[in-house]
Amino acid sequence: MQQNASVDRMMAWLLGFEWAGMIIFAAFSGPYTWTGGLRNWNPHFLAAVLAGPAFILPSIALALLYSGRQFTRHAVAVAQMLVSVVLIGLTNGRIETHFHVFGSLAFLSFYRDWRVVVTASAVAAIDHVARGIWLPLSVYGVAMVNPYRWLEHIWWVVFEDFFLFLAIGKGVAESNEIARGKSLLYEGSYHDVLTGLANRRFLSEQFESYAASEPAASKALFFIDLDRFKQANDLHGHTVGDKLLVEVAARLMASVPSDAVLARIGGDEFNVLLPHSMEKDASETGSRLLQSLAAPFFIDGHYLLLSATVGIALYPEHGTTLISLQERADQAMYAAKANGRNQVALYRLEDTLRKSRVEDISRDLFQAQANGEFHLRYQPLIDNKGQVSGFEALLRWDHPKHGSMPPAEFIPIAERSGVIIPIGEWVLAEACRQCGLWQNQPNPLGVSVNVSAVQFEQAGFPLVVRSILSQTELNPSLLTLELTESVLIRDVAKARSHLDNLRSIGVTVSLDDFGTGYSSLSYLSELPADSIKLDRSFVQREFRKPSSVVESIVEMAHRIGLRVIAEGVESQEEADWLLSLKCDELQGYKFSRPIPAVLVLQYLATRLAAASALEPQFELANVA
Amino acid sequence: MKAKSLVMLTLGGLATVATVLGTAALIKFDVTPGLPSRAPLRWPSDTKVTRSFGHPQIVVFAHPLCSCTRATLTELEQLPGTSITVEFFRPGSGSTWAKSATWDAARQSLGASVAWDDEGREAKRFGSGTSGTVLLYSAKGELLFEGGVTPSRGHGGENFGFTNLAEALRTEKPQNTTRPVFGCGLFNAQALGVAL
Repeated sequence: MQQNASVDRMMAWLLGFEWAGMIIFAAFSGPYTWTGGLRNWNPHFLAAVLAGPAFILPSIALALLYSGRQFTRHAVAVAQMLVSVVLIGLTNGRIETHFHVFGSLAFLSFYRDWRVVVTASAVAAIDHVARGIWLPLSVYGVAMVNPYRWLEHIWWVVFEDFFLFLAIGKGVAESNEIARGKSLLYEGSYHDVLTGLANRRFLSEQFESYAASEPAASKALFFIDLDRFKQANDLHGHTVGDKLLVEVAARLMASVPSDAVLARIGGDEFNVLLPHSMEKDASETGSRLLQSLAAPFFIDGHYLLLSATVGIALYPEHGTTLISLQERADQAMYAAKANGRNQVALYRLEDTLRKSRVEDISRDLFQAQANGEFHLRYQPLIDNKGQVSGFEALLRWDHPKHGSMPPAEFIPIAERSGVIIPIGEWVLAEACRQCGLWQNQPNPLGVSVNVSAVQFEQAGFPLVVRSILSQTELNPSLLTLELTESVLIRDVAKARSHLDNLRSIGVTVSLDDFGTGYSSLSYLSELPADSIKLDRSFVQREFRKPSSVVESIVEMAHRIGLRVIAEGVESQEEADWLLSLKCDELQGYKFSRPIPAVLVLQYLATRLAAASALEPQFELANVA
Repeated sequence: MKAKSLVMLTLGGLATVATVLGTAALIKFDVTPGLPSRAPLRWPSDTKVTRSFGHPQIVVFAHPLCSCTRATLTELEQLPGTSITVEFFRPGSGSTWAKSATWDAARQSLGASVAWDDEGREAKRFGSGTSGTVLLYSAKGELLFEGGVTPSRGHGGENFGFTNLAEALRTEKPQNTTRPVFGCGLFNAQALGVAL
């Protein structure tokens, strides 16, 4: 189209020059005919002049006003060949003038359209056949000719056409190759190669276009993040992960309105731009997007369950640029994730404040350790005889700006940024060091340390533990590592390897937060753990509404040789109930809040003085 | 159908019609002969046209400004050694017509004797009303050929007129036919006294 438009313009110039040339030639040949002393215009001259309005000028007008159109190039082809016809007539059928026919066909082949050459050849053929039969003189220059001479003329036109078709075919093939290359470049520039969706650049340009053309119209930007995609990718490999993304893209595409722009902007992150959308429409579309992912995906023989979390920002309320809308939608999405994934959330101002706080925490975490802002507190574990059997080391952070920071808030952030690894090592080292100080007591006390999934998955984690034990000279049997169920089932083989390694030196392992996740008893039998810790929420729920679940778990755990520790014990009634179910150890505010290390010995002395198990709760204020 | 398409089709149709009609008119002009020759069967005794005795003589009547007549002269160049006289029409002795390219061509390329024919008196005498009329008289003054030697206006090339002329020249026998002459008029029909 673009190329033929330029050929149209070139042909317009050519026709213009040819018209001028025809007039000059006709004038030079003799503009008049004579009868004695009287003169009249020579019809040849008039023909040259009138060829302009008859067919040259209309063709030029078409070429300039309707360039690139199919009918234009055919009209130009007809005009060009009529110029040949007139020229041959003006030169009295001079054979040399016939070269104009071939030159014209060559020029017309610039269109790279064989149909144009056919049209032009047809005009030349009709003219030559008609005049060759009825008036050979006007086309061959001689009156006495073989009646089939026109066949020879046609043959030479066909001969040239043959070469032109070959040249056009080759040219078109090369041109297509180049166009395909350009198209791929364009696709690569504006589309995601894997899914075929728009990419960030395309989204940006579309947004600018919509914002410029309809600045007052409401628009919605969705930030979609797939939940648990990383796990699927890690578990089944990148090939399955890629195919899953393609399937996800297809489902999302089927769920958005036709005027929406769906773009993949990162690994498992997508954006949707709705150019005409109010809050209600946006929420409905968000729900449709989630529903579209609800059905299981079947990829390479695997059934995969996936969900997504969607954050929505509205234009112009939440931002007037794509960047600002993406930030807001991202914040809404993270807020939704924090509230438990697989949901749609509209941006709120609190999301920005929360994001800002998260960024503060994320940034300050890197300096907290060096600044000595971390410290450990210890919460006792009480055995079923009322004796303190050990302490769980709990990390605390005194943030210079936000004050005492709950671990539940900063640990996930530390895990995402990876800074959990040095922090975890510090916790382990500090707890071991502290426990090392206690191990010389008449009744050595153990210490339990929580281990993050990120930390545990490090290939050298067992070595790190060994190194710390060696440096702190702590008896490994006094160290218990608390791991959550999810850490263990993520890579069972690796978990088993690490646990075997650690247990071989005497370290014990406890399965933390039992009752909140899968709570798979089969894992309990497969993994080399020493105890399970019933989660606080699970304990309290079961206490309020008793069932036989806890009893069954305790019984089952005991059968496979695991001790059972109950967390979150807050009252004597709870303690009695748990002991009646034969829990081995209890932990909770009923016995003590987490206390600083310096108060541990004092706490022990106080409990000893109480001289009986499960006495009234240790009062922190009394020993502080 | 959209109005624009209708306009385009109409314009295209008009252009086609104009082109066809124009071409037809052009062809008609090219193939329409001028006034037929009415040459005397014997060399006129009162003529002042130069004659080469003892040889066949070709006399051509031409209009100096007629572009078609060049084709006639070009055809005659195929008859080297033939005595040719070209009489160029001039409206009158006082005319300002200059010697044209055709005059030069006749003299230099064809090697003919050239002369002005004021008011076309000689043309009338020889019954020629069209530029490009060729007459061939034998050495004895007998008319062997009359007519045109081009197939149409301004067109050279093989044609019956020239073939007849060449035959008459070779055999010195009269060609009992008058070939049409394609060229500008020297007079109108009334002046020549012929009916078209």
